[in-house]
Amino acid sequence: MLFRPRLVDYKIISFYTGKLIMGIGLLMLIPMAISLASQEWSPVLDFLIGASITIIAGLLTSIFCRTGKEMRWMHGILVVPIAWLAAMLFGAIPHYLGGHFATFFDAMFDTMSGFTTTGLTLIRDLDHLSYGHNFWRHLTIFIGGQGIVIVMLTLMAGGASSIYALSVGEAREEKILPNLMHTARFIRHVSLVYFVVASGVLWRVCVQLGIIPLRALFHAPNIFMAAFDTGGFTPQSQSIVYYHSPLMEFWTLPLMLAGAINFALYYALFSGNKREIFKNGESITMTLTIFAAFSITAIALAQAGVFNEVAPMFRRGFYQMISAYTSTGFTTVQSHHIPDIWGPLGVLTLVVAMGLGASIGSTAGGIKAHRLMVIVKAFVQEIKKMVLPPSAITVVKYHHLKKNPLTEKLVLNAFLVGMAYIASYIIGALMGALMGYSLHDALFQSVSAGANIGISSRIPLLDAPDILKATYVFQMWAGRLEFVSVLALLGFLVSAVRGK
Amino acid sequence: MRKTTLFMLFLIALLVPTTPALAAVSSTELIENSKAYDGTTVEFQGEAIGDVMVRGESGWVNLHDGSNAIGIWASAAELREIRTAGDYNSIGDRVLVEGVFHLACPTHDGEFDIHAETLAVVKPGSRITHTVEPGKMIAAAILVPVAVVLFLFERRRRRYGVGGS
Amino acid sequence: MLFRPRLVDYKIIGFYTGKLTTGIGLLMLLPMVISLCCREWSPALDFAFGASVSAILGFALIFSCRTNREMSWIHGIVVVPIAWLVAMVLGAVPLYLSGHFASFLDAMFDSMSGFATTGLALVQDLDHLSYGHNFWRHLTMFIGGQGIVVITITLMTGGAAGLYGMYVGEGREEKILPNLKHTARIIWLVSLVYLVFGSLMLWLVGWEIGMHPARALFHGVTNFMAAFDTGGFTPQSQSVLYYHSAAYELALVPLMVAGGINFSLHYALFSGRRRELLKNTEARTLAATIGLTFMITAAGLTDISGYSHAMAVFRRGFFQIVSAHTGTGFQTVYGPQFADMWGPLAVVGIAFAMGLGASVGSTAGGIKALRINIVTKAFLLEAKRLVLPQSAVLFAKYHHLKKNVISERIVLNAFLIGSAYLLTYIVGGVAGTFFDYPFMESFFESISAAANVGLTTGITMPDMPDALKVVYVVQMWVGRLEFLSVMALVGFMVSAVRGR
Repeated sequence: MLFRPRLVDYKIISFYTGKLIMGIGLLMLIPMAISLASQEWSPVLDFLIGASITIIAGLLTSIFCRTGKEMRWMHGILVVPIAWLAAMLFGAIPHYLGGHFATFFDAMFDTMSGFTTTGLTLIRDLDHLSYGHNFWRHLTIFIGGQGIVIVMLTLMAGGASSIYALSVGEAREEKILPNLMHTARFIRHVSLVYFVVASGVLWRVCVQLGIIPLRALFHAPNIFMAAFDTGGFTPQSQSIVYYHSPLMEFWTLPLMLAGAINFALYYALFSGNKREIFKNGESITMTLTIFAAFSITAIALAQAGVFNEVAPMFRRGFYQMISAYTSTGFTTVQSHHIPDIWGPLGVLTLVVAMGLGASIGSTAGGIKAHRLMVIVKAFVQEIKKMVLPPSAITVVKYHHLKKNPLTEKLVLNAFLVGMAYIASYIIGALMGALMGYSLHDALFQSVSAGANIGISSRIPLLDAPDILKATYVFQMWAGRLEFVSVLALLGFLVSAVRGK
Repeated sequence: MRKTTLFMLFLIALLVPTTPALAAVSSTELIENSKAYDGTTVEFQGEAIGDVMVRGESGWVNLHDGSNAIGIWASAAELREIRTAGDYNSIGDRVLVEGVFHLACPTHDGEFDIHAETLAVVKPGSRITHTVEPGKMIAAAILVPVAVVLFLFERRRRRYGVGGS
Repeated sequence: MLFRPRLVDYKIIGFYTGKLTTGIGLLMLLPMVISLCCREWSPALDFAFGASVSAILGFALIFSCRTNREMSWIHGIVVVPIAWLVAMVLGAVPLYLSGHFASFLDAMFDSMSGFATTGLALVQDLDHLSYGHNFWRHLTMFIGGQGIVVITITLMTGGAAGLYGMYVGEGREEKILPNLKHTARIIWLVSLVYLVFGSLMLWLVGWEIGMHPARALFHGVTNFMAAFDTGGFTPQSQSVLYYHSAAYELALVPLMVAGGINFSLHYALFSGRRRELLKNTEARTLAATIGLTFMITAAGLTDISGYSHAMAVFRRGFFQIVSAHTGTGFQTVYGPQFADMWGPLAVVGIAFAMGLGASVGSTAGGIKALRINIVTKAFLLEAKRLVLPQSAVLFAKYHHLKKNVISERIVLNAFLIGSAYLLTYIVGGVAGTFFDYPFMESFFESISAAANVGLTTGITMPDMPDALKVVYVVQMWVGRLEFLSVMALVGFMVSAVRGR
């Protein structure tokens, strides 16, 4: 039995969506300021127009849809997927006006890729892009990575439970502190600390690499945002290859890893619980996965015979693996070159690393280590149940902040979401194959989109058919939101049509 | 001086088509047939983009030929010949290099690069003048006031509780 | 807390393994008779030798492990995987003696492939193989398909719980009738009825298309066993291509489909409940996935110019889809054609069909339609749960003989087994690429082995690396037993080492 939503339901959803849209508009003023400072007049206008349209649309929506009703859980979880689509639409306006995209759709693709911290890009002539636009690309990563909702939380007020629903929709399932406002503030604090410190370090590195200080000031925060929010855009078209520097790779590596760690774990670390990182089930799973994936990659690279010495193996193989696993998408090999020189085994290992993904509650994409751990433990539990006498009670536990028992509900959720990711990967690959690309290129690209990675295979994205681009957009969106709120949207649409 | 001689040599090479020392390669060609070109001397031409990164005796510049950018390892002296690197405001110098291509460079931990033996600026860079389109100005002139008015209205309403909740 | 198994536990397991071993020995007398009839003296000796070895080993186990303790559930379930391994080794003895195998490993590969109803073959010069040996190849499929255990259950008495453990261990969860012996009898009854009619039909068609009547009979019986038990061995090296006959292909299709249907559904049909076929959830899901995968393959095939007209696409494409989806593995194209001519999309369609598999409680392999259905419903349920008020009680149902409620436990089981299959597919694919086979072919062959299909792209050849042969053997083994009993075996071994 489904209930058909009433007008007031639509109104509540639109009201909050409108608020979020307006927030996006306000954020566009930051790149505008950058453009002003760089004396880029045309980009200033692009952002002015974009911000105005977005603010007007957001305000009108929330003015027309104002109700006295409080938001409920169901509304909250629906606002999220809708708001992300709206963010894609409006965020694309300044991009498109910048003139570096062939179509508005391409601009939307890049905006979604940014907000979902993916890093696939359809931009043309990136090396001549204005500072303002370039900053906006990286800012979308930062906003999307921190969570559009988390970023906006300070802008709005409302019932606490409904805001919690919002953040669940955005796949930050776990409340770090009981109060959500505190959570938002904590996430912001941690990120800001990282931002200042890491940008400073990266600036120093850039200067050492021979980049003039003013331009280094531009490279550093952009790279930081792309690395820490595991996004993978870079200011120049060659990704990290551009810097030709082990030093840059050395510093971005820990940033990517830091971005792929659960924020709840940070809270434990910041509040003095240092040993948690060694006991945490998820970080142990991550370490094991990285170790296994890199071992296979090393074998593959040794077989393929291109990067078979120690230094290249680390700078290309290990870096690439970490970039894939943390779902960042920085590359240290020439673009589109991975399939040629990594051999089938190497490519496959990368695909698996991408598909698995790092931590829950971080900006990384993919199935994620926590779920992997839960699923593995579910198998262990199953085996124990069979071997032990029926009277024995088997409880398998995992460590996250404290010892938690493995419940049926937990296992089922891990399976549901994990399977949804796999389905997304498969559908994307099928679409690629349908467009006539080879199977492993299609699979690689699909996992790269579905797990919000951003490494490209040989598929020339720029010339890809629009339907394939649209598939990737869908995959990025659903993958970033971890399917739950997308499923809710699906349920809502069904009940809008078939409910009573 | 050296620059001009090189340039002259280049012109001569263009004028005398009999024995071209090397065929110019495109980045796409290099990427797609990287194994065939590995270790050979190639000629590559492209626009210097971003930053010219001099590190001590030598350094890096990235040359973009329209499809891809490729890293060039060259001596500091030669790199200083490059005056303009392309960005939003300028088109970078068009640079011609001749050097050894590596699919996985042994000295740079497997970089995909060209170690330039000679490097010459073929065409100096220029400034790009961005004209502001009138259409955008008109659009901004209309939209911005509307947005500001709406925003102020909304804030006023929230502060003084005019209408709504 | 695990309990270390005691001597008596090993004894019970050894005792029943011994019983099964003697059973295998007895069954070898059948091909011996065939060889004698055809006056193939050397093959007859091979079987006499094989049967004696099995009998001696079996009786040795029975005598040395005799206890008066009853078999419990865990013993039953652990016996199964062990017995299958023993059957593989002993079944390989007469095959190896035939001289048509390069090594004993190759003979074991074919023996496991037969018992697991897979159909991948390493036999050399098949076209000159004796009738006796050829019959044994097909008989292994019939034995393995009906279930080594089911055969044994009909022959012996023992502890009911343990027998049920054995029954479940072989990947059959559902008893058709409350009594296990009756159930086994039903399985036999159904199979024998099909055997008579199916062989008769194939005999007549074979005769009609120009084969010698006696040879047509031989082909009829062997092909029936291969089709109905979804095995996929054929008496000649070209698989079904040998017959060059649309009629023969057409006759095989219903047999394969019959083999891919749940035995309890067969029983329902036999006992007059015709409408069950239309209402049965699994049958409907199967029809849907066959349709879907055929559409994918057809889309891929019409894209390429290899087949000039629709009928060619249908005859190759549809036959191949049915053969793949039911886990049979008959081929009407040469292996390398899949990669060279069919193109990625068509091959993906086939790979999906293989991976999904047909019905639970049939001889087919793969994830199986009921699980697909349950998983899909679990997603829909989740979508509904998200939009409905938390107090609403939701449940989904499936129709199998009667309406059944899908409990969390059922969903969890479907996910566990389904993801175990996916994992097996991936591991095999990685192994293939490790030996430098192309990406697509590696995955195809891996799925084919693990889902007990037997289609090949040409990787399975006598000269493939031994390690890869072993990987495929393990995949066939765990895939046929649906992981459960293998997991129990793992648990048993762990408790043997770490228990107290």
